[in-house]
Amino acid sequence: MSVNGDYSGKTKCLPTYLVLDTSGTMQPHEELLNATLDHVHMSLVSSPRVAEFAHISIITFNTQPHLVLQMTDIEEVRSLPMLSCGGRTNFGAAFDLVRQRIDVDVPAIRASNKAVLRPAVFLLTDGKPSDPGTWEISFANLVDKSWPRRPHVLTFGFGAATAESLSGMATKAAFLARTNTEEKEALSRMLTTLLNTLVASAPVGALVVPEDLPGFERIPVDYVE
Amino acid sequence: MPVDYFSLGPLGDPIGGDNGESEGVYPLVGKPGQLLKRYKAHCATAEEANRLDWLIERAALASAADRAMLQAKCCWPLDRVTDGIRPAFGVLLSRAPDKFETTMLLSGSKTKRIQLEVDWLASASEKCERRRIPVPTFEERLLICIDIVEVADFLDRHDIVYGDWSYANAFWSVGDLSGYVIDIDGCGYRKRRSVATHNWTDPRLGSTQPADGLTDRYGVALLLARCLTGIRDVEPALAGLRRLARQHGATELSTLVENGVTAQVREDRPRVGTLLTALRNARSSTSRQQRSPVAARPDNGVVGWRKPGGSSPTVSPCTPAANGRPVTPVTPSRPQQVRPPAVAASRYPSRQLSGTGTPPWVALVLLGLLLLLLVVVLFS
Repeated sequence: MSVNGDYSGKTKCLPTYLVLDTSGTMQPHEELLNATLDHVHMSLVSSPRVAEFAHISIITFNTQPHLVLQMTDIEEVRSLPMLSCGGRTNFGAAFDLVRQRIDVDVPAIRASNKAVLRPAVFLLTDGKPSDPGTWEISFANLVDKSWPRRPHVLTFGFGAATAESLSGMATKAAFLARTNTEEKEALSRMLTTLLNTLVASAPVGALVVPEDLPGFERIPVDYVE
Repeated sequence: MPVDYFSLGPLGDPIGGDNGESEGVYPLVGKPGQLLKRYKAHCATAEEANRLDWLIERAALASAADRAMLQAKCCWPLDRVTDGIRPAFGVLLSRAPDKFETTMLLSGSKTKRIQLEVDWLASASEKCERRRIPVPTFEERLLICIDIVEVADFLDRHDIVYGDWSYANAFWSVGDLSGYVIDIDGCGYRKRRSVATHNWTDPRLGSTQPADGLTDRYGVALLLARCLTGIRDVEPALAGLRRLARQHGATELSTLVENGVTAQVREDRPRVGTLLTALRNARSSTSRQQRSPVAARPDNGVVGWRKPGGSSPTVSPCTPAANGRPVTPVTPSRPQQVRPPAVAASRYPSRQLSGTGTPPWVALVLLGLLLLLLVVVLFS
């Protein structure tokens, strides 16, 4: 009789969605965004235990959402997308796409004989929603408590992003860059936090949410799980 | 006596961040090879200071042979550090030797220098090859594991509980096939707080119970199953080890490892010393056998450690020593080029394990000399 789980227990996998705002206001940060993504990827593949734990999908959004990297074992990623920015900041369609993808990705990972944890969404933005009245409905649908696969959502904002919108779109944690934090630094720190979160989560087999983020203010989330 | 933090001088940039009980690990400027591990405030207590002092003393009281072994094969804590307020502000440690670093390929021509954790030894050969990390043979894995288990055996013999065997807490060297255990400073006497590491948790230990020596027996057995096969999932790793053991005449080892991992009763897990003896026997057995490329056999399901093809132009020839390890470190002289994976000769082309390298005529000559000597002694 096992006390603390079976020795043959399945390896856990955290489906991780990196949802990136690529609207027009992000254009000055295109180069840094691509470089930081590259750094995150390189750091993850250098640790087999983290690569084994966290599967990643990248979704960008502006006027429309785009699935730029399908959910995959980081080890299997041969090339990363070159991101370019332009258009509006429509969150609603991005939330709809994340929900659709979760329904595709979770069964696929489960079929590979892994135990699938509740997905984690890391949302990075520098702006306010261009689709007020729409995104709220899509977000509510994404985190609907009656949906077993509803994800944890962590939001990170800088530039014109507001505490109000970041708070309303998060279920676990929301971070807003302080006004004295440079935008480039904020972007780099947000992606590094994604990396550190995955590294810290892998050994314990569960999502470990960062307590704080230098240069950012942690704001209370509206959503109560 | 503890070392005063303020006497250490300047610290370099941290090489390890917030991790468990550690707030950060810093090199000491002007003292190469020494590190300061700073503990989080809640771990800086007098009780922790006593535990650290006790642990540091264990190495000092060890036999000369054990001290030499510990110095070479693990990062034993050297001195407790206090800041005058916090008794266990930190601890001084030796930095792992450079031979445990290697260059991995990231993508295209990008490379990265990393400390080679056993995480890679427990990874499928395809993953390693993709990153240009050499894939050791079974015999070579035995050598690495013997080093790690020698440290574990010392701990077991002295009622010291490690409690944190995992992919991250030991390094290995592609150069001389040695192993090195880190994070010894967290060890406790007969028990320690259980470290819940995913896929390494003792299945027969309650989640609130502290880790003990029996937990370590499980952890070491599991480490062996994974590192000897390059397979991470438990049951396939055990099955892979059984196959390998049959091929290499090391069934005693696979049976013991399996008992250590799957025993229904914790007390039935074999002692670490028993595992160590079985590892050494397996090594003697494999070194007597004719080497054969196991991965090339069609009925072998183990894919974790097949040999890459040919010898690398960046690899220096290894000179076999008495203990079977190459004495010339194998250090890539430049970033390694991508080679297509292949199943052929060993990554260590000139390395000969003991028992296989002596030509038969040498033995005949020696035998003749011995007989001659015997005749001279008898008739003189």
